[in-house]
Amino acid sequence: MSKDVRFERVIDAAPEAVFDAFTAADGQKAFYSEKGWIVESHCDLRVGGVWTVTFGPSGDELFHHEHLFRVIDRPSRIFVDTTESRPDGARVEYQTEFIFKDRDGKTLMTMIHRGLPTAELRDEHQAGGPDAFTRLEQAIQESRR
Amino acid sequence: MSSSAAGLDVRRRLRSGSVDGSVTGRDPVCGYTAPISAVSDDDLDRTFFALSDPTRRGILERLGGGPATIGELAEPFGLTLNGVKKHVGILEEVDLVVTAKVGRARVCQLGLAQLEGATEWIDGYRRTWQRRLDRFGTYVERNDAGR
Repeated sequence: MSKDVRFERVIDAAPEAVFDAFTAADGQKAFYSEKGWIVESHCDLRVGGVWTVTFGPSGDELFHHEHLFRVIDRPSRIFVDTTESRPDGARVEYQTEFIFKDRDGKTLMTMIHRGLPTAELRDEHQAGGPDAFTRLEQAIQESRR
Repeated sequence: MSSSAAGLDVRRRLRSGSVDGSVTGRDPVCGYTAPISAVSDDDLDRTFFALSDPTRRGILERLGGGPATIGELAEPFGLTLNGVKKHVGILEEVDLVVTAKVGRARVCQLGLAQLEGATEWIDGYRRTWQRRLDRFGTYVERNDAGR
């Protein structure tokens, strides 16, 4: 059973193009921009460098993501430590992996969140325990039968 | 009374309001971290804490198959009745489980209100990140097509 949260999208462009767009200011802005939202992105693309993004619906409600680059392997992989700060002051830490794989000239872009957004779930995750999200969903599905 | 009959009784009481099964909900999420109306971050923290224990998750999975008495829950986990009561109490505090006294037994069943609140949070989290990936994909495709 997977312990990670995965997201996938096939993008009609070569991995090099996708990777380069994702590490450029406009691509990063596209990634975070909800309609009408404020987005400020600054990226120091090197191992040990930090990509910071501040975003939100208004100046009074801003989220902040700080991604510390651990692995940069153009055009196939980026691994970062992510710290998320919420408007209420809460902070969440997890790891994010971006994988860019060629699929017949297109790119399968996969985003994996390692670590889960509560302290208890994160601790459980690090201890190799079962995925509470998945098990929760299973319990719900079973209860609806 | 059998556990299935007891479960029907609990459900009937839930519908009638004699057992607290009030539905909590969340506003549509524009960011999964956005504050939501009825389910506070504190509620979610407590819900996820309740779910962080494997025995309590096992109890929820067992109750996913239908209501059970404290004694029926104790047996497969090799726990004492008091041990199960303690776990059930934690689940009950966050409405993951509701219990009702039926005759001499205490019957437990899933409390869906909180589960749904937590699930909506998870769904919002998944939707938000998938939307980011989709939006970025569309951006790349538009720009790459022009080259």
